Amino acid sequence: MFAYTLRRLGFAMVTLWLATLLVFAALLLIPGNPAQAILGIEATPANLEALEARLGLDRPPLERYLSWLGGVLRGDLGQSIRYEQPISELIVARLGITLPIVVASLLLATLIAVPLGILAGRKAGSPVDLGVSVASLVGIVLPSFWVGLMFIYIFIVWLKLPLPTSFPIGGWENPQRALLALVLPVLTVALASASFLVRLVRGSVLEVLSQDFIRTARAKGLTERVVLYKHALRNAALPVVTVLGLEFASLLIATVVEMVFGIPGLGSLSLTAISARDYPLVQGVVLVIAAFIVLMNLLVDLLYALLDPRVSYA
Amino acid sequence: MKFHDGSDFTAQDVLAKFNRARNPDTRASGHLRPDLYRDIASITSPNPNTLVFSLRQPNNDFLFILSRPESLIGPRQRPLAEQRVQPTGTGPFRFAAWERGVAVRLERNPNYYVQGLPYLDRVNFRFLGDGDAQLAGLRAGDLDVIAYALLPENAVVLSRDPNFRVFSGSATAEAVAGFNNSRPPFNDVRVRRAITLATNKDELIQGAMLGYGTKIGSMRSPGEACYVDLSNFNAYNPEEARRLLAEAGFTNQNPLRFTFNLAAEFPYERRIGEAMVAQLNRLGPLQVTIQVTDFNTWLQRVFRQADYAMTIIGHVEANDIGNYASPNYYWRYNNPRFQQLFTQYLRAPNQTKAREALAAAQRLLAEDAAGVWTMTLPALGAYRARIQNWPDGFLSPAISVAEVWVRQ
Repeated sequence: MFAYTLRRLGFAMVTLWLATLLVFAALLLIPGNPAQAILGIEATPANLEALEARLGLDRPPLERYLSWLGGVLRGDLGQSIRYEQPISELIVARLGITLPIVVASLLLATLIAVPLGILAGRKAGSPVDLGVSVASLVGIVLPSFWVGLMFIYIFIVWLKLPLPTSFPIGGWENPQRALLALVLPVLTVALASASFLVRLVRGSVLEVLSQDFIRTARAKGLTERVVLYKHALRNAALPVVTVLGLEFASLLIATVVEMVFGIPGLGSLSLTAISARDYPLVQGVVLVIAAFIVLMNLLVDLLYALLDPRVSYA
Repeated sequence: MKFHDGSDFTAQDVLAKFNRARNPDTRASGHLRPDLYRDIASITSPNPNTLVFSLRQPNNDFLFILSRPESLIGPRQRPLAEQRVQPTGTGPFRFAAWERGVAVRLERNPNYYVQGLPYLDRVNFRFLGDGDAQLAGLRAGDLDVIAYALLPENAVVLSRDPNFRVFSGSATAEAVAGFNNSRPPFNDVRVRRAITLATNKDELIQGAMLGYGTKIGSMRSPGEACYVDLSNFNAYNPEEARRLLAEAGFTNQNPLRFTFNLAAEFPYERRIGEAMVAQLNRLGPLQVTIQVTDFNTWLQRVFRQADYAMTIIGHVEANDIGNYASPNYYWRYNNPRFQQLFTQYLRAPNQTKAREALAAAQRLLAEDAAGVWTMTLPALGAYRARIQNWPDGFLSPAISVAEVWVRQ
């Protein structure tokens, strides 16, 4: 397994490098550049050219890419054009807000979805199953921005709970207020994730329960508890773990929820970076997100081996 | 007078600032717009409290240029790169922090040169891009003021609530539906005039902006100096529009087809543009399709390359009629008579002559239908009723909150 992990990490490096190359090429293709974003509609051609030269945009693309890559290899992501601040500082600050939201939402979603999904799967066709299915369908259909706004109106404006409507100025300098500001976003994200996770859990429990080895286990006279928790769940967990890994990566840039709750997270950072054509910042954000995706995939694969004895990476 | 960092504010700081700003070598100076200061021949300082600007020629915009953001003055020894991210000035509030993408924090300047001001100890400007998030924040009490770009529908809701005050003040943002004047069909004044006549500005203000907006008829807003009211010039007249289009060869059977570019980021202009295209398509001989891109793509294609037929954008800058005098500006409007009038204004020896020239320039633009100036966008915002003295409009990008106070 150690050798496997090493090999995977090697692949991961190649994947990351390819990702940066792809993003760099994509940025060359989309119209516009940071100098235009800075000067806006009062720019004269001479001003634009001067600023482009100052930002190094007149250098050949390959040279720009290589100098960026060289910086990354030395552990330097460079300076943001828009924010005039080291990119690593910006990303670390944003991750400090985004990661707690993602981790807490997925935990909460799992805590809601797994028991409900098992219940619905075991009692397929019952009113309980129907209730869970309808609720999850509603959760999937409702857009997050609307749910988020409703939460703000219900909990803050009407019920007057002492929750902030946006991430506080000063951020984690005021830990209590910052934590409170994350309650509703976590609830919103968790609800959306739980809604489709519950369907997945229900589906895979249903599928596993109809397998031969379950019939054998029952025929051996094992209690329903043992059949369910020892034999069925481990198998049903495989697809759920896969999806959780993917969900983790996509939630890192959950821009819609960030907009509604005024959260300066990684999603809004990447959006700003792209619209300002802040090339080094886009590159940095993509690199970090890609690293998380690769890492999550690796974790999921390693978890497979733990969950399913048939999977072996020896 | 002292800067926020405690150093003395003297004529030498101003002198150093403008000598740097007008340096044509922007790489060395770090300044972006040396073109603004081209008319300065020399700056001298006979004593610490006096400064003498000598201009190569009269420039009626000179005082205006001195009030632009590019002309902000900091301590002369402070590097521009620092000044840009941590500005030091002499104003009522001193800069405390810029939390990137979150907020700018300001603190009271105890040594402000106006005795007794400012009233507030702290002012935080929070960046919240989403209109509904702003509204929720205001309602929940996290925000005291929505300072910019309140959505018209939210303004209507808040104006009915006694806990809030909505302001719709004067601004200088003309929502200009611009033509590419250099290319067919818009190099034909009949077609441009027809488009203007087919645009129902009152309907746009009521329908797209729920009444918030001021009808205009040229590239000037009522709050600006030398304004001439041309709001009813080339007023809505669909029959005349059809007649002019027929004259130019476009009929219901052979309609004029073109694309109308919109930048996605601007909520006011986008909805006005969409409504305007609907009006044009209602006429008959016009078939207009909308293309929405992000602002930076718009800047590249429309603004820089002028690769477009028609577009709309808010020209928020004050006193920007002079853009029509640059044939290379994205409208590609090249009218020597206009250029002459604008130069007359700029170089006029006195205010009367300047006003006359600028009035004639506004009229000429309108007669030439060089664009469709749909409306001046409002400075639309709202605040909690306990906030006092909030400025209800702005003619420059700055909002002065020195005299704002909070009723307990």
